[in-house]
Amino acid sequence: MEKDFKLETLALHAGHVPDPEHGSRAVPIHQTTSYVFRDARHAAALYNMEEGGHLYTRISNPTIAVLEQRLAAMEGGAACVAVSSGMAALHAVTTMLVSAGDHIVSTAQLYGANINLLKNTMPRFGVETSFVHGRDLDGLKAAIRENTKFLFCEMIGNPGLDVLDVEAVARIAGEAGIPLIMDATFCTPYLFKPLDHGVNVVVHSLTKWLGGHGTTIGGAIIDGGNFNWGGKNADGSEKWPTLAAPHYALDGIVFWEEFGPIALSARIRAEAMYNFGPTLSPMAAFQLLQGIETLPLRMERHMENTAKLLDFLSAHEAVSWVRHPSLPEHPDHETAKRLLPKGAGGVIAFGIKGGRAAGAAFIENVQVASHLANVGDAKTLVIHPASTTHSHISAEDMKAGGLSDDMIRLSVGLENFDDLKADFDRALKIAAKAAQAAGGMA
Amino acid sequence: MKVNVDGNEVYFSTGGRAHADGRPFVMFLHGAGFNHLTWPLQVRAMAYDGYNVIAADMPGHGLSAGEPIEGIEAQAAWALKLLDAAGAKDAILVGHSQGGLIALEMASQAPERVKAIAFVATAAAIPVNGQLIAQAEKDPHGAYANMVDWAHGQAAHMHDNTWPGASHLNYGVHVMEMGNPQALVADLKSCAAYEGGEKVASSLKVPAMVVLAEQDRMTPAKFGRSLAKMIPECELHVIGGSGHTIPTEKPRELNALLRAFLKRAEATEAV
Repeated sequence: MEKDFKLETLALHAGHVPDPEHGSRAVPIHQTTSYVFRDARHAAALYNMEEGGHLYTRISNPTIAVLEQRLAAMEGGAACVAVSSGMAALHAVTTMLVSAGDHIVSTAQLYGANINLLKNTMPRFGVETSFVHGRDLDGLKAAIRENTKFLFCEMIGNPGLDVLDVEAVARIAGEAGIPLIMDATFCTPYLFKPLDHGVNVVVHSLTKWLGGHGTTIGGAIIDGGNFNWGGKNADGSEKWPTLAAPHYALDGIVFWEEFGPIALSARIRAEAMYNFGPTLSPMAAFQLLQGIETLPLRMERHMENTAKLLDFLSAHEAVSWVRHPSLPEHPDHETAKRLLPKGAGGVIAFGIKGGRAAGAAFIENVQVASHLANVGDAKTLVIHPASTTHSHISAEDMKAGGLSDDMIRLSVGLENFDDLKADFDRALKIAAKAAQAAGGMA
Repeated sequence: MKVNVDGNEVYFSTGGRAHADGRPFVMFLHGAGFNHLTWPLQVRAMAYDGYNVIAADMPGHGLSAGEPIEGIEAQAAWALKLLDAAGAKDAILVGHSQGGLIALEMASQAPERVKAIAFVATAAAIPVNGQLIAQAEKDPHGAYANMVDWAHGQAAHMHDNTWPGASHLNYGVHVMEMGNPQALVADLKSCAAYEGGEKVASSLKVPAMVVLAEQDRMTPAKFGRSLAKMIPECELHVIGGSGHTIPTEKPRELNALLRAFLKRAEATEAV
C-alpha cells in the first residue's frame, strides 16, 4: 500500500505494538500450546471464526502472528500464514486450491523440491502439472486448460538463475482468469515485491535470506488479496469451490463471501493448519523475526559482495564461466535490469577449469566459505552439485537441468570482501593444480 | 445470499447462518466505497448470537451488481426495499460512516421500520474534500489508498491486528477494489450533498448509540459527539486507540457495545 511505512521500518516494527501491561519492546515468545477462553461463548466464537484470537498454536499463535503480519506488510499482502518450511507453504497453498482432476501450469525453472511436489507427489492425488520454460510465453498460454487452477513460477530459477518476465506471465494468467503464484524466496521483498507486478499469492522459504542466520527452518504464504475467487467454470459451477462454495465445516461457511481478500489465508488456517498441522514453533517465529529486522541492511551487503565477487570471478584465470543475471551475456539480463534494479539475487553459478576434479578440490579447500546445501545464509556457502547433490545423475540429465560437471553454486554472504577474495583465490589455485594432476586442465 | 432489488442482483451476508422466524433483524450498512467486508468480525458474531443479519453490498459495491446509487435519500429508499426482499418487517440498524447517514434517512422515510440505530464512526453530516472526489473520479486506486490511510489509527498502521496475520491497510484497499470504480464517487458525492441529518437526528425516537474513534481522521470524533447531542436519547462511547474503521480495528470493544445495545433495544421494544 503506497501510504504504508517503508520496507526498512516495516521490517523492524510491522505486526507488533508493545502490550500496555508489560511494554515489552521485543516481540514476546508465547511458548504455549493453548489459550484460556474467557467463557463458553468466546470458545465457540474462536472455533467458528467469528472473531480473531488464538485457540491452539497449531492454528495460530501471538508470536507467529507478529511474523505473519510483518511479512504481509513487507510484501503488501492482505494476510499471511506462516508455516514450518517453504515446502509446507507450497503444499498448503496447492492443496487448498486444487482437487483431484484439476491441473496446474508451472514454469520449469524451479527448485528441485518444488518440481518434485508438483511432478511426482500431486499426480498421485489426481492433479497434473504442465511444465513450460518461463521464457516460452506462448507455451505457457497454450498449456492453460479449463481445469487449470493456478499458474506457478519462481522469480529467479535455481540453479540456472533464470529471471522471469513476471509481468508478461501475469498478463497471461490474468487473461485466463487464473491466479499467479510465485515462490519469491531468492528475491525477498527487498529486491522484488511480486504483488506489485501482477502476482496474486507469494510463497517464501523463510529459512533463506529472510531469516538470514541459517538457524531456523520456516515458510510463509502471503495472500495478495487481489484475486477474485468468485470465478466460474463454463458450466456455471465454482472454479475455486474450496473458497467460493460452502466449506465442509463451520456451518458451510463460504470463505470468499465472508472474508473476501483474505479468503485463501482463512481457508489455509481453517483446513491446512487444522488437518495437516505444518506449524511453525513460536521460538522459530521469534528467531525469524530477529533476522527479518535486518533484512534490508543485509540484502544491501549481499548485493554489494555479489557484484564484487562477480568481477573477481569473471577475471580469474581458473574460472571458465560465470553465470548471474546481472552479467550482460545472461539471457535474462534485460529482464533483470528492468524488474530487479536493486540486484538480481545473491546466488552465483560458475565453472572451474578442469571439470569435476577441480570442482571437488575447490569445494574442499575453501576455508571462509562453507560447503553445505543451503542458500541465503549470512555466511558464504558453496556447493559442487556434480560431486554432491547431483552425483547420481547422468551428464545428459545434468545438462538438461542446467547443471554441468564443473559448476559451483555460490551463495554470497556478508563477510569482508577481501577475506572472501583471498579464500576463493587460494582454493581456485588449488583446484587448478588438482586439475593438472588429474590431467584434465582445459 | 442473493436477492433481487430493482432488477439487480444484490448480495448480503447473513453472517453464515440462515435467517429464522421470530429472530430480530439487524441490518449493517457500510460506508463510502466499502461493502459488507467492513463487518467480518461483527456479522458472524451477531448471527450466532441469534439475530437475523443483513450485511449488504450496495449496488456496484462488493458482490452486488448494478450501477452505484447517488444520494443518501435514494440509498435509504433502496435499503428499505432490501428489507422487503429479505423478508424483514423492521430492523435494528448499524451504520458505519456513510451508513450512519443512510440509517438516519431510513428512520426519516420509514420510522416504523427502524427499531434502533447504532451509529459507528459517523456524524449527522459528512462533508467531503472536493479533491478526494476529483481523485476518486480520475484515480480510484489512489483515492482508495488515501482513504485507507486516513481511515486507520496508529496501531493499524503498525499492522497490529486481532485477526492473526492480516494487514488492515492492504485488506482495506482490496475490499474497496472489489467494486465498480464509480461506486466511491457516487458515495462521496452523496455524503457531501446530504443535509437532512440534523433534522432527523433531533427528532429520532428510537434507542440510539453513537460509537466513535479517538484517532478518527475521516470523521473526527467531535462531529460524532455533536450527533450524539442532537439525538434526544443517545448513549455515547469513544474507543481509544482506533481509527475510523472501528469494526476491524477494535472488534472486541465494538462487539461488546453492540451486544449490550442490541439487548437494550429489544428490551425497550418489549416495554
